[in-house]
Amino acid sequence: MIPEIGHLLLIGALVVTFIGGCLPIYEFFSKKYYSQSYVRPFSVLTAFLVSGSLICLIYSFLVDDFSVAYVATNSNTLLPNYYKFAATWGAHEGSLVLWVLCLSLWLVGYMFSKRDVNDPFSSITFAIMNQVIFAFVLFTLFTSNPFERLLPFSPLEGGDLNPSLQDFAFTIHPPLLYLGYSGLALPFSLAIAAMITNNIDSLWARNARPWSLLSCAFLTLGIGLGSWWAYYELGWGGWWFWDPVENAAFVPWLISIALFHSLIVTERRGVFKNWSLLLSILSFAASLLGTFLVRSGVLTSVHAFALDPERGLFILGIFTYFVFGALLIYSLKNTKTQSESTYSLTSVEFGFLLNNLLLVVLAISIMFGTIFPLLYEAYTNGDQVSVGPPYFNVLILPFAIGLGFLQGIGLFLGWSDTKDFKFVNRLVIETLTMLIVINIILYFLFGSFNTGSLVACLLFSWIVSGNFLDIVINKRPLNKIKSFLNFRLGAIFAHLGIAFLVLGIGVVSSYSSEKELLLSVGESYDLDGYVFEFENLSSEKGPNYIADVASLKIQENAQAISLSSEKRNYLSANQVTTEVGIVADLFKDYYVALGENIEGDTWSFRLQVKPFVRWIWFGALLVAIGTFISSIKLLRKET
Amino acid sequence: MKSLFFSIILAISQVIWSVGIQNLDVQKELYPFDTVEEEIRFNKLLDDYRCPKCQSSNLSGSNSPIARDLKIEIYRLVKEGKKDYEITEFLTQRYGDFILYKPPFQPSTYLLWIGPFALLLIAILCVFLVKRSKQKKVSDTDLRALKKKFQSESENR
Amino acid sequence: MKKIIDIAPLVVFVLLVLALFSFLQRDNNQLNSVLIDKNFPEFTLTQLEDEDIILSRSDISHFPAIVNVWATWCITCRVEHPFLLNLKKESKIKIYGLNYKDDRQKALSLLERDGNPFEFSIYDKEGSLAIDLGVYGAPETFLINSDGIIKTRHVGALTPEIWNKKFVIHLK
Repeated sequence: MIPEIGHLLLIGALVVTFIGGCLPIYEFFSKKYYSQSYVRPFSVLTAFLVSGSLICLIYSFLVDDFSVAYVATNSNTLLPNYYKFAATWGAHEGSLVLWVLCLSLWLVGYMFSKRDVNDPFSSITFAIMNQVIFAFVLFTLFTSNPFERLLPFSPLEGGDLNPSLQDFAFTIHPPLLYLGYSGLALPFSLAIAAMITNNIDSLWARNARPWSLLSCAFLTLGIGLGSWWAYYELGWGGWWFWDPVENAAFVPWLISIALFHSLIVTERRGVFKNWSLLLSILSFAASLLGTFLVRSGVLTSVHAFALDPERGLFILGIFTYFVFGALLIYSLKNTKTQSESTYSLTSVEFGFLLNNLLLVVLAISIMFGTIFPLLYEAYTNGDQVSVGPPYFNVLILPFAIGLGFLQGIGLFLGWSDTKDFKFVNRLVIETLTMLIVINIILYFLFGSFNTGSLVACLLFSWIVSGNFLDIVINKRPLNKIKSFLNFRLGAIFAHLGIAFLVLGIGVVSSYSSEKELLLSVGESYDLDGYVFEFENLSSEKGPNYIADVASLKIQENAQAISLSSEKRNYLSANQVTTEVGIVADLFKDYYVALGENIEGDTWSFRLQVKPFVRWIWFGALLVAIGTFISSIKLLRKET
Repeated sequence: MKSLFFSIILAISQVIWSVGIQNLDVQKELYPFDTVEEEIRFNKLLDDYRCPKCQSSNLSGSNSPIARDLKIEIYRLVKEGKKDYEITEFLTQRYGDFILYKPPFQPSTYLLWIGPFALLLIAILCVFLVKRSKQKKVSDTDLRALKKKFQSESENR
Repeated sequence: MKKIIDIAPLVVFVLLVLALFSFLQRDNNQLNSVLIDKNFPEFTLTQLEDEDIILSRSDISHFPAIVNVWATWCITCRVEHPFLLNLKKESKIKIYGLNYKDDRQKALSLLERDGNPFEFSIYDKEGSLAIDLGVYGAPETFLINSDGIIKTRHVGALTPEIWNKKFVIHLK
């Protein structure tokens, strides 16, 4: 009964969003303005219907209703309740419902953030958002209905949630990522509304800015969490693999960053209007394209969902409808939006323009590299090629240097033109000083000097000096510093975050040490001065798995640190996973992955020492905090 | 700050301490090498080859049997003193270019390798061209008036 | 000029959608073999049935033939076993086995129990010939035409449909 209610609620959402997607458009073009007071109630209604539907699905998971096909494949009675809850979005069908919920929450958020929504601009925004929600509900109901029943022959026991997804980070990773992905629908809708109602002005940019920032913040958290999850769950110590699924999230992230920078200029100076419009469309297009690549099965990937060409076709349809439509409106729109401002080559405007070019070209290139194997196979009639980390690492380096360079000086540049460049000398001196200090610290920490991390250290010093010098050099009186900090707080956080991220990446890729070896109980191994001792092996029984647990002791000078790594066997699907043992401090992670039992009490191990790896996620967190601060400040000032 | 200082001291002592000790644990390693250079090369190779079975992992990140066999094979080749390109040739003759995560630079992949940088160059060139054509349109007096306006605005920001 | 810039994104987009659409039509999820149109690689290994018999390339002498990579630990191999037995009965094609990373005794007793479709099996304990063949999982099947050239490779269990689609065309 409950699954049917969930199904009905979803159909209800389909009906409501259909009306919501058509009515305002009809009103606008027939110039018959009824009262637009339905906009808010409709938004809330949709959100209620969709969350009701999701709650029904969660309920089916919690009560082990294996007559529901989706529950039967992704859960079983042994699964702890917490993971049953999270299993709701553990596979394709349920995650789509979550996606739709995120979309409807964004709509509610927008409609209630504004004091007055009784204008054509808001109602067209409402309509486009409703169309997006409608399309995804339709997609869910027709190709991926999570409420489908296995009647009358329902199984008594279910399959299992993929063991590597039975994990805390994974339970919150999808909601955050989907909030980010789907949030980009809002700037998209706003851009369309601006074009249709011919309101391509500062106010539109002002409206779109906080939402693009907020989506970016959620994407940052989602991607960061995904990377952290991969690091400790996949068992080999990698934190980013340029996997198609990762790229599908990374590309919209890059474009959303370009978007909110461009919107700043459009709001303040009235320039880059076309560019901002295009980026609004592009960011949502990237988000849809990512969805297509992940869910259509054209790319094989570790995280990819089950393959189904029909789904691929449907998403391609959604993608085409929205992006083709938007670009058509874009090409037909009133092109008289001449920029009424001018700027020099040494202005913030121009800095932002370069930043945008770098970000967008990088995003396009990453997307191109991701689908290149498919293009290649089609073009060469069957030859297969791979594009992976060694390619993308080469690709991103010049872009990262360019972007880092701009970040360091960006805050000093003035609108329209920069009056003086006295800051440059100081910036260079501060940067070099910091660079030397960092390298001395690194030398003492790791006992060697590695040129591999030099670029990363340089960028770190440059960005950090750029951020802090700006406060000092402008010689603001003390009472003004507070208001200045208040003004720049988000940007400072986010840019510092990028700096920490870059430093973490640089150091961990140059100073890590790693060994694969065999150890018997009682033996120890010296890895670059850290002595790992295999103390003992024990068996443990979890709720739905049995595990071999290896306990190790690490001698670090006088201190002894203990950690344990497990080999788990999940009973229901007989899947084996590795739970790595990690002990982390500010400067390094000890990372131990238990391998296989070779003979007797001899096991294979992979030991790693990964310096500064935490700084990567710390940096990502700072970026997320910074973008949150900026967006919340904008939303609070909303009129 | 105190903890930073402390760890620096620790690190120094560590460096001094580890220099004196020869690593006697070589026999426990799965892939022992005589020189550090060989080992670095080996690890780099494992990072850059794709596991043919698992589709989205390199050899060093994969636990599949074929990845292990290939690791052993590459280990043998490195120990035999084979150059990187010889090892790459060995693998591509059996598994094709698919096994290389870094696609070879050849006519069919020029677009992949040069495309992004060419696109960036074109984009920057376009920006400069558009900028110049725009600047010509705006007369000097306009420019001065606008500048004045913006300066006063930016001081108020 | 202005118009061209406005329409450019649309054109790029249409090209992208066409490309994506063509990706959906793709039905190949296998790694293609690079050994197609090449000779079977040289090898020196013992025969599964008799460890004193040393085999080399010249022992695969009756063409056309298929070489099937199999093992006792491979579950899918059990699935395709009846197909191979049937093929031996109904077709003149010779079937050679490549016993891949297996235990000799286990492999022999399995063949005794389930029937032996192979002329003989090459015993590749270390998987060295398998690597030379670009094998990445069992079962895999290579087709060698009457000139001794590898014409196709299939990864996974053979079925009559796959046989008709991928193999029969090379046998004419």
